[in-house]
Amino acid sequence: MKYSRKALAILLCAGLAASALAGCGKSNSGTSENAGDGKTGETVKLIWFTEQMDDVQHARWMKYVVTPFNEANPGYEVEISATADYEQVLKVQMAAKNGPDICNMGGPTITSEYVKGDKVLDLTNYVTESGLDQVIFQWALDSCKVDGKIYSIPNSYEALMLWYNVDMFEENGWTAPTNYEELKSLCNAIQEKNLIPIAFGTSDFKAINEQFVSVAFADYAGRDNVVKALNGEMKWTDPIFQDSIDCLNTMWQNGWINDKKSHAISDEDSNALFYSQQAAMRMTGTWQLGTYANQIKDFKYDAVPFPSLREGVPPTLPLGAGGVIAINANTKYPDVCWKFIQSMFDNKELHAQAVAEGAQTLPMDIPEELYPDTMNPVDKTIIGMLEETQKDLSAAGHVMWTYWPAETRQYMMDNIEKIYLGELTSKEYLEKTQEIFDKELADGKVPVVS
Amino acid sequence: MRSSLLKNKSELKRWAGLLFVLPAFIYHFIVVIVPSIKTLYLSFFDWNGIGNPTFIGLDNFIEMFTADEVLPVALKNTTVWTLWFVTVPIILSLFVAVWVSGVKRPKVQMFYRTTYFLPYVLSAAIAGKIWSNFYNPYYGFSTIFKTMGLDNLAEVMWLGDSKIALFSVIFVSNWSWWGFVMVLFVSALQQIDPALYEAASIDGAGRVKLFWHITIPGVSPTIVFIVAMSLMWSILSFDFVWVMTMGGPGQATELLSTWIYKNAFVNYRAGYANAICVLQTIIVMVIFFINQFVRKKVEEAV
Repeated sequence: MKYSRKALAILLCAGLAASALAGCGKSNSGTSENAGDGKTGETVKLIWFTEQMDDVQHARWMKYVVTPFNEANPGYEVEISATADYEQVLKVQMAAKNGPDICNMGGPTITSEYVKGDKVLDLTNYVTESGLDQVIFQWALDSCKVDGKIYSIPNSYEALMLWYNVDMFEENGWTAPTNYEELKSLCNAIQEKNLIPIAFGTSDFKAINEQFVSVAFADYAGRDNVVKALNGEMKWTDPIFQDSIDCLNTMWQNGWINDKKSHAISDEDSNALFYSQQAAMRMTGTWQLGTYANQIKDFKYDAVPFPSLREGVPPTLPLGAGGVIAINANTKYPDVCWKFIQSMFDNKELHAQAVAEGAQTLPMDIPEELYPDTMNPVDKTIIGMLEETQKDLSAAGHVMWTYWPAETRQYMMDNIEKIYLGELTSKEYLEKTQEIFDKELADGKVPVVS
Repeated sequence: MRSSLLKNKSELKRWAGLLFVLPAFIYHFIVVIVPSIKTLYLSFFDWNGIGNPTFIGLDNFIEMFTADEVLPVALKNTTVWTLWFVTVPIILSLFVAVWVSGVKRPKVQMFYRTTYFLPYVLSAAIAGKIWSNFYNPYYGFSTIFKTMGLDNLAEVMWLGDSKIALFSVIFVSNWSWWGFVMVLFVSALQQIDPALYEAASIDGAGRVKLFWHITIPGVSPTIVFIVAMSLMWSILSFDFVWVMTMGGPGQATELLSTWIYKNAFVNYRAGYANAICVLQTIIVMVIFFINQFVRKKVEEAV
């Protein structure tokens, strides 16, 4: 009896150990390894990994992208897999030679990290053979190149704009500013009314800081100087960039940027200040188009490029890829994955309908007549403005999340607040920026900038 | 050799005992020891966390001590965080535990214990969000202070002032933690023989003397345990800071753990992040051994 109990205990231990080991086995949550081939009757499931989305966004992607593809390609089924912190999850999965078949990424500079590890496919041939290089805006496609090859496709493009309350402006006789002097008088007038000139909040997501830094560089230093600096032909320590940061700091110290509280409130709080008309203007990107159309019912709103901050520099619209889409190098179905990506660009009419419902625009020309009449006229105007800007890039700037390498970007967005709070000078800030940038430029981490 | 061992009954018992801990050891080996060794190994590499690592020797460690300007700030903040964590909530919860234990009516006592314990049940993400709203300069405490005419307090930016942001987050973390510590102390207090208090009272000991000479020695093993746990958990703290400030404003609330995360997942410098992990582990181990030494001394004294 005593020995049989011992034997049973040993057996149980062995079972437990075996189950523990089994738990550590390879997960099958990654690419579609066990699926059929799509031709023999079995349906091949392809996982498309994206950032977290709400039900409305999910339904929109399904209606305008996924379902049309699945219906047109019997035997294959694309499935959306969305999660919070998707970039971190993706990184871990891809490092383990697993991961989804198709994956969204935050921007081209992030893709370049995956390229180094041979984790994503070279799409150059796919792009040229399909003719997508003639469809996608050249600057957007260029930003996706690593060592001259295309590894990702921009799946949206966006711009930073100054949004304003049209009703409030009309009531007070204010007009949208086009230069620094006009901005100064306008902000002073708004402050006299005990209102916040520009709503802006970063406490919950420090990356938002890069929006105003991008604007300061674009509208003070100017496009050409930024291009030179990003290509290593000019130093970030140049007085023109120092003056740009000083100008941004002056705007913050004057209370124009959310009453000097931008670092203490969240992005959503700053939206709430704009919605509740406590702020006359709002600094954010065109990704808000759908949100504002749904949320703002009490007043009319519009958006303009941020005003020129220096004489000789036009009001500039910092542009960039909102995100990119790439194909896992380990997928068994690269051709189908590509077909899916291409399908997004194939049907312009369908895409125009998605945009009318709040989706972000793909970086391609969409004839105005394709947009349905039901589309919010403000959205139509702003999208038209974006398309015009990208045709003549002299008034287009660069957003940090598309063009700046990761570590430089991290330093700049974390430390700009130290300048606002008087803990760092613009000179020290840019010297450190240059030091990190030099290292990343030498390591080939800076994308092509045109 | 093997057969002679099996013949020995005591040896057999020993082997059976080892077999019982084997599953736990295998599990521990796979999920703790192997990743720990890999962390140490990768700290000598330049690695973006995705591709193939490149061996760079001690470069990461040299950079850590010579070029990284954020690491000293993160170390300082982590030290402040830890010191706060091992003092304020422990002292506060001990006093409250003594007071709660003194409540005679069981239902009332249970009410207090539950109320103080409740914040611990909330996840850091939820508690952090709630308190971020309280700290909001537009609709949080500021509004209350304003209506009370306390304009100076209403102007304070709890998460926006780099001099106080760290303490604002520490307060929330402590708010969440101290109720749990209090419940541990209540349990420890219940283990103290009431006859000791009775005898001391007869001998004329007052409340202060009872506390110093009976309560404190009675709960000292619990204090040592809580200090050990608080030390280790506070050095590894991440969640409240990440949810409430992401290390900002500037680097005012940057901790070792948030700096590790930023390097590994935002800067794509996993090799360097591993090197900081090694430093963090060494700090925790040193503290652990000091704590073990103190624990032995306390046990001997008790």
